Amino acid sequence: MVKSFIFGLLILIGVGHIEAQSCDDITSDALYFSAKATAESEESARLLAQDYLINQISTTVQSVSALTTTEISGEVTQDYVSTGTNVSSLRLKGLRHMVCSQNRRNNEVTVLVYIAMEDLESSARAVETQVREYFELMAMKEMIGAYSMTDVYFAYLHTFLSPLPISLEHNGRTINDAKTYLEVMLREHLNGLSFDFESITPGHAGMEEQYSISASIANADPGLNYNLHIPSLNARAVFRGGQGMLHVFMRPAAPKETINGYLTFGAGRIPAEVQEVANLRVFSRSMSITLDFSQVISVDFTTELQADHVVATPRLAHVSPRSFSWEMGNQRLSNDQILRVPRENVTGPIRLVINDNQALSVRKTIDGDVVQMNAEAPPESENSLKLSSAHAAHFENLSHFSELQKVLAQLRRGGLAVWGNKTDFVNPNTCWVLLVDPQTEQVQYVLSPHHRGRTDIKSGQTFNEVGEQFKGLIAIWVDFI
Amino acid sequence: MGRFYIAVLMVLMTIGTTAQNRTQIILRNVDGSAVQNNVQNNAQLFINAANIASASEQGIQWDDIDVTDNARDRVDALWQTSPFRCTETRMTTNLLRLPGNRFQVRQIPVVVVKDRVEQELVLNFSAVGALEDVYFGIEQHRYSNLLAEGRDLRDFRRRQMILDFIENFRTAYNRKDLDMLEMTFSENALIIVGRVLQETERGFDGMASLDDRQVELIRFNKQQYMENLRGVFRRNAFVNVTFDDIEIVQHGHHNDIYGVNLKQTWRSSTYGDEGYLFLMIDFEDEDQPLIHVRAWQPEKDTPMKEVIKLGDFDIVK
Repeated sequence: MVKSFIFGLLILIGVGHIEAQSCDDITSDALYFSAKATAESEESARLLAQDYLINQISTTVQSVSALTTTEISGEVTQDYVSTGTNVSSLRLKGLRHMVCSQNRRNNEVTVLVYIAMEDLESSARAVETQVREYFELMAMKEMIGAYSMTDVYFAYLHTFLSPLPISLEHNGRTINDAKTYLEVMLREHLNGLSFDFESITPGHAGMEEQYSISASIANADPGLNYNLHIPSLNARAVFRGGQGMLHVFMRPAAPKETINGYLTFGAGRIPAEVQEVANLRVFSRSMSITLDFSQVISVDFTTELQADHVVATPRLAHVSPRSFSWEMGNQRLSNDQILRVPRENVTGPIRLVINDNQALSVRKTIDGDVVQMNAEAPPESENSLKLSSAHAAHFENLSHFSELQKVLAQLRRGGLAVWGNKTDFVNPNTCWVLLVDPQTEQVQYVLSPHHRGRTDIKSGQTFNEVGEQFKGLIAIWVDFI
Repeated sequence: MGRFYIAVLMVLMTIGTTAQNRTQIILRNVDGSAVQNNVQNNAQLFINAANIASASEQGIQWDDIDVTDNARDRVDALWQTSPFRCTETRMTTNLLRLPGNRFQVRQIPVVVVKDRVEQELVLNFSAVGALEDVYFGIEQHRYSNLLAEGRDLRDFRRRQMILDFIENFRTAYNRKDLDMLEMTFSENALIIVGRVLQETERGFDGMASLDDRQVELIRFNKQQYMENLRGVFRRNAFVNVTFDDIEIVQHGHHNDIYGVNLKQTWRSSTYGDEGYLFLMIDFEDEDQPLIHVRAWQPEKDTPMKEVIKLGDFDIVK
């Protein structure tokens, strides 16, 4: 590290020519940007002066550096309070330097670094060409309906290499500052993203508090990586191609838990020349995420007769019990974890409510017959099933067959789904089933698949299988890809 | 009621059955220039000429269409085996730009009359708007996804060129275009065809393994392959080849060499199969790309790890 003795930095823009080639001439010439620095070696002084010059140019065009400015003896002295921007990434061709003075006694060298306005403009033009190519690429991709946010991102990063603002024409309109334009696009993209949590799988025995949550991001650009960070759970997940898996350690106290996190994005292969910019310019968005644990939570209890008492013991899975409430009809029997009550007092089914949440309750007779169970038990063989909420959106509000035809055609064009008869599918259990009345041509049922059968999203009714009850209706089986 | 059942049948079979002769094509991004108007006009004239020809079971009437000789020959050849008609009465799409100030219109839904297979038609136009090529494209979302991977303008253009080449290559089989296929393969092309062995070798315990059916890879040279193909074209009234699951890989050192892996479905009047197809394509001459290697392996009996890829070859140029 250099032990620097910086006496000052002079950023001077003067008027005149460079014929004399002296430091003073250059600093007073309006055709040059220049910066001066003093250090104990020429190399150190040159690097410092170069940093200052780049900062100055960057500040001139971007106003991103925080500066305090004081007027001393007619000269402007600038103290750099905070930089922390990407200014060192500026592409500057034609940068030159000269030694202004050397003080051997104090071991000090003062160096002037400068660049001609003409070279500055030439550097800007070189970057502009590159940014224009990205805009052209964006336009080409937009025309074929392909994602182009990666190109927007790369174009944005490249704008930071230009010492001057970039203006160009795009889709018939003039963009005065490409950087701002692209930044708005990127922010809108980030704000438009939404998560669809598709399944929650608990860890194996001994790791029950670990959950693997597979999710997809709607409107994700396949070329970008999205990073989800949930600080409270110290969990991170990377979504590539819009798909990812979040691993969290937690014990839910309710079927639906909301957690807070933030989302950023980046790209897998960032061009080397803008890697530094990418490290410094991070877009982030905070978000609340609701995780649905109802598919893994199980609330149950066992009963046994001990002498003339009934003893009920909770059997819980994947839920953190904070309170117990044993009830019979409108009567509260106990808030203890284990219920012990005289047999003669039990005149009806007993209900166990966990955490005062009716969604976590079970009502049973003392013979073990389940009367009502509100928290879903995990399926025996498959803990992971599609929630299909994103898919349901396609079929909501469908009434006539002609509307269904349009939706199916759209899904096909987008490569999102295939459909046919039941026998066309290897695993029809995962298919949606749409049932149409041939008399009225009305869509009667839209059955979504889940691990216990199917639920009609129109009426909320649940069916174990698609069978006799739908006799006379025409069934179209749809599998999302 | 009957119409409803037909509509349901259409949905389930995904085949259009309505017949109409008139299709309006709207290119939403034309700039109003004479060239681009010419493209739109020619696209519409051609599609409607195809609709009329397919309904009347005759050849296409080219009178009003601005078309190159090459395109006319190719379409006429295609028409012999795979006449088609557009299934839409009105369709809106974008006019795309190709290298050399040329234009392209994609995603025109057509049904090939003979085998009732749905295809998406691609029309290429010259810099002055004349129709210069017609072929069956790959599905639009696959096309978009493959192009979306283009990292920069040059990579995008190359991918566009590869996909156009692949689509044209595929349609050459429909046209039974031996001349084009002959030109496409390099003189020293290596042709590999996988054949499933009927009996597997017995293991050390003398038991034949039913699961380990083996695929023998047979090598052909270009002349042998073309001769076989000539016989196939002669024996079949129509050949329909489709490509799916396309992956494009650029060689790490030789930037002009690309490996293309895809799933090929072959349907013809006498035979059908599905297999993995690998093509090693050399774009050193971008106007005349050459296939150095074509390898086909049966899908059913080839594990993914044994599928031939670009990395399996040492390239000396």
